[in-house]
Amino acid sequence: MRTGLARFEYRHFIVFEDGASLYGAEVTECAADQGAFWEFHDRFLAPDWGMYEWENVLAFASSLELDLERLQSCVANREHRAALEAGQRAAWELGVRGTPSVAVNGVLVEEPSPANVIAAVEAAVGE
Amino acid sequence: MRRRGSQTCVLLAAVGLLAAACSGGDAPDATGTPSGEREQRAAAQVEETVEQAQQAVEQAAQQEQVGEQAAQQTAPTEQAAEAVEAVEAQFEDESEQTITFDEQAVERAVAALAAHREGLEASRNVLGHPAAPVLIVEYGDFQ
Repeated sequence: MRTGLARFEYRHFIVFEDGASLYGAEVTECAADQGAFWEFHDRFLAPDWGMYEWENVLAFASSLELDLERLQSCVANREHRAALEAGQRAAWELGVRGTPSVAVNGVLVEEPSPANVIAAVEAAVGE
Repeated sequence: MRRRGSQTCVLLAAVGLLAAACSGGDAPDATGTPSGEREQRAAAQVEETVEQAQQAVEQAAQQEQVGEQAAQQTAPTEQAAEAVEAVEAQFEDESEQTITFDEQAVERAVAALAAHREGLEASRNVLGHPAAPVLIVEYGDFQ
């Protein structure tokens, strides 16, 4: 297997602006400012974690030794809101209408099953 | 409580008037009025005093009735307050339930997700070498 050919990027697609999507995206981006994007990504995807409880978010951030004041300020001031909205518009223009959706080199994979995504990646590597 | 106090005052006043009426007949008369007239006047005074006392007692009874009605009207309010307390207690219980979670299940899920990234370079929301020619983007949400 050849390595170093592909990179993977997670982007937020807000399904319900007043729901967990936006809240989770904003918290995760604020955690990313402190190098903890993937830790929060995993935690938010874990079932029944209680993501709506700010105490849980703070406790987890504390366990990662993040700057809690900075995190709280970032979320309260919605520092990533504009970037998230811009990303949302770009995704919409690409044709994203729901989650999960996958794009390889800017082309949406239809019915993004693992097999279809692998096929799309292999095709992109071969180009 | 204030209503109860005023009722008590009215009742005491009524009792006082009755007491005064009963003792008024024995008061010495210094005017020299014939005893027959004095007795008539005294009887009239007693009658008047008794009427006043009866009115005071009736007023007190009416006020007590009003107080009871008010107490009956406040009963639903108390019931509503109790219901609110019950709902709040239930809400607190549910809040506690949402805060607590199966830590082991969460850790298992997190470990499974993290395993997919093992050995990969990570920078913010990107995994793998930043200069890799193929870009795979997943659009997701936490809903």
